[in-house]
Amino acid sequence: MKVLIAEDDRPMREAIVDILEREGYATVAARDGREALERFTTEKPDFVCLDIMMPQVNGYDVCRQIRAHDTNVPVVFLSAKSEEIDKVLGLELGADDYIMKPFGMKEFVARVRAISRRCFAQRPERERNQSFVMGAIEVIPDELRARRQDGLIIELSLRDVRILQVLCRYKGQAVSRDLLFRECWGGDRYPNSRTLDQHISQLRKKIERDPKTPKLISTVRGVGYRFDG
Amino acid sequence: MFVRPRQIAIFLCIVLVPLAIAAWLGLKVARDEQQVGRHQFQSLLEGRLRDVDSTIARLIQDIERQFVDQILPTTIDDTRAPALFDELRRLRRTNLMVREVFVLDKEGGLTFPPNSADASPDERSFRQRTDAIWRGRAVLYEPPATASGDERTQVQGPERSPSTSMALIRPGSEATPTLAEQGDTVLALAEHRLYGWISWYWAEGMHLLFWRRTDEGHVIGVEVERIALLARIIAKLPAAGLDDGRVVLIDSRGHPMHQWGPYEPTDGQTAAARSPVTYPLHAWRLLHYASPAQTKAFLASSLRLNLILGFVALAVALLAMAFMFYRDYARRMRDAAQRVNFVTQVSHELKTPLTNIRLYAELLDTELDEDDERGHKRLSVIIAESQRLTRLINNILAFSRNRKNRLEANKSLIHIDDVVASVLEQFAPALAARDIETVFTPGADTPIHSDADAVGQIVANLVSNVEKYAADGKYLRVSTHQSAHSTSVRVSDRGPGIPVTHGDKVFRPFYRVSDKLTDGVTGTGIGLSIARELARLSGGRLSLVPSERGTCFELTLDRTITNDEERA
Repeated sequence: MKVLIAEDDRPMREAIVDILEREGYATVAARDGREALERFTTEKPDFVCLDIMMPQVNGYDVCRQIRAHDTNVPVVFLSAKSEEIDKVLGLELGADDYIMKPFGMKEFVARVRAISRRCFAQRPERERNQSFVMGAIEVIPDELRARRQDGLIIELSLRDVRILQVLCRYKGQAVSRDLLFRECWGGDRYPNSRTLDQHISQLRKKIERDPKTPKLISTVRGVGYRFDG
Repeated sequence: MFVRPRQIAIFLCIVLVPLAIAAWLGLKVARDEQQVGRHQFQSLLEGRLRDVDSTIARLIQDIERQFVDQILPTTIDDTRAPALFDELRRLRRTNLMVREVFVLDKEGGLTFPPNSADASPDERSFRQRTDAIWRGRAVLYEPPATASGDERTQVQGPERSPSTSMALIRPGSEATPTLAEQGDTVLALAEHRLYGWISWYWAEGMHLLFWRRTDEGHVIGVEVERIALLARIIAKLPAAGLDDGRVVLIDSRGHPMHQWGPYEPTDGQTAAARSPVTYPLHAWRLLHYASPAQTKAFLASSLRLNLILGFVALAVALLAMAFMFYRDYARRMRDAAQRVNFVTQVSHELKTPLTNIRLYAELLDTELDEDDERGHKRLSVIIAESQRLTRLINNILAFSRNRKNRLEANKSLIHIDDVVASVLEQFAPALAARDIETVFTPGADTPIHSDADAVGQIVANLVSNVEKYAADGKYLRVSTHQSAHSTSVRVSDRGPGIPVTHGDKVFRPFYRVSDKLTDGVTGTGIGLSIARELARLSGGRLSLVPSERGTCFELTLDRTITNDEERA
């Protein structure tokens, strides 16, 4: 899933790119409204994060023009403008959500996941991902969730889902780091080994009953990881 | 700048009310002044008429003098003597002022003109038209008495006894000729006067007789030739001399006998002033007509112009004063708005860097090794402080919106326990850093219709105050409770508490409990004020609950749920 981020503040733009890539999204960044419109046309993102107060073209106008071409692509506003009228205007222009600054990572991630679920739900039947079972959990890719047998709902990132999909596909086999990088990080954006290990560690905390003695995702020393079933 | 209707109303009152009062007073004064002007104008014209009348009066006195001193004999030995008759007839022929001469004997009988066959037709006509007078059947007029001694101006003349002095009578005064007693004769009048006038009406109008008493007690007199008298009067009256207007001398029937002045009165025009002519011509009138230009010029007095100028000056002064006040007020409001806008603008500007601080701290937190406790702790401080800054900015913005009456509540179905839990989670690192034991007792599991952000901000402000002012108590308890009609959240601590004297004042903006409690503690003083306002907007109230130990605040929200929300 590709996300267009339009934010004129560089640190914030880079932080959001970082967070979304951690989540498993491909990102396209724009520094101003005009670049955002150009990138929207060329990259065809799956959803759009827009700042409002941007140079060249402001976020409201970008949203208006995006909606003129595509009424379905989700749009989320990120803004310091916190008056009720600002939110109402943004939503009236067709935005799906309005996140007020300052926001934390968790809040942002939660909102993005909610948007992603809507994106997946809008896809044709043949393009939807099927749920699959890994041990005591059922992974529902299009909802970015897993459901444990005891009913507990576990929130997953896109990358979490991808990792589980790969491990499940190669059930019983050790999946190398390179394969996981290729399949789950994609393209030439290879993180370092530590990043993968940290991600697996965070994933275990979500899905394993006892993260210190993982049952679903085993470590294969020198190779990678394995799902035994 | 938005101008409130109240400000406009005050501005209008400051300017319009005094102007209205001044205008009313001005109009009143102008009306009174106009009235005075009219009277003065009338007095001016009447003064002119008095001057004319004085001229006529002097002429009458001259005629009297001539008759008394020169024309009429002072002694008559025999009132029936033919020589006397001849003398009297010669007198009639030679004097234009004399129409006819008459003599009364001591018994009041008319001896001349004689009632004989040799009387001329004029003499017979005289006897006929004056018969009623001699027989005491005519209504005779006495000379008018003056109103007072001060008003009487003595006309100087030789051998004039005071009792027979002619007085100049002010026109229009009450000193008009009075009726003599019916039946009185001229002889009776002559008993206490040396001479006098008799005016009576016959046929074509007023006639005049002048009589004098002789030494023997007879009465001799003349019927004045009216035309000659009029000619002498007209000769004395000015033919010109009036710049404007017209003066008209009219007889007893209202017929003009003489007039002068450049102005031609219009039909039906009323005289601006009128005055009776002096006695014995009191049946005549002097009328003064004023042209419109003359009237306007006189009545359009400078006072009106002064009043208008004064009114305009007052209006300008009031407008200038009101404008100065308004400008000063607007400047102060603008400064205050700028200060508020500046604060709002700064708060907005702070949001982006604050977001960056928090995001990068959280990102770094995920990248640290799990066993790097120190690193995680430091990052948690950065995150907590950024959250604190966020709350401060939200408070400032809420305060600013409240001042502009733009603070609003966005209600939806919420779980109070979830909101409180979220706030406590945010404060967990800061509270732990201060060793404050936190106890949360949830008891509101039924959702209610309220504003989650507002409730969160209220609880955050209360917990923040515990962290700032009651940390020494090392204890924070938050409990929620629900009844049939309300949901409440209590936040209590074991700190120094708030003195009873401060009571409700703590909810005032910028109010600080100025004792050791707050010395050295930072804060804006608006947190509780905002919290109370948010509580009100959310359909509840925030109050300070009496507590034996520490401080206890209670947020009470009405428990209102719509039918749809109940079903949901």
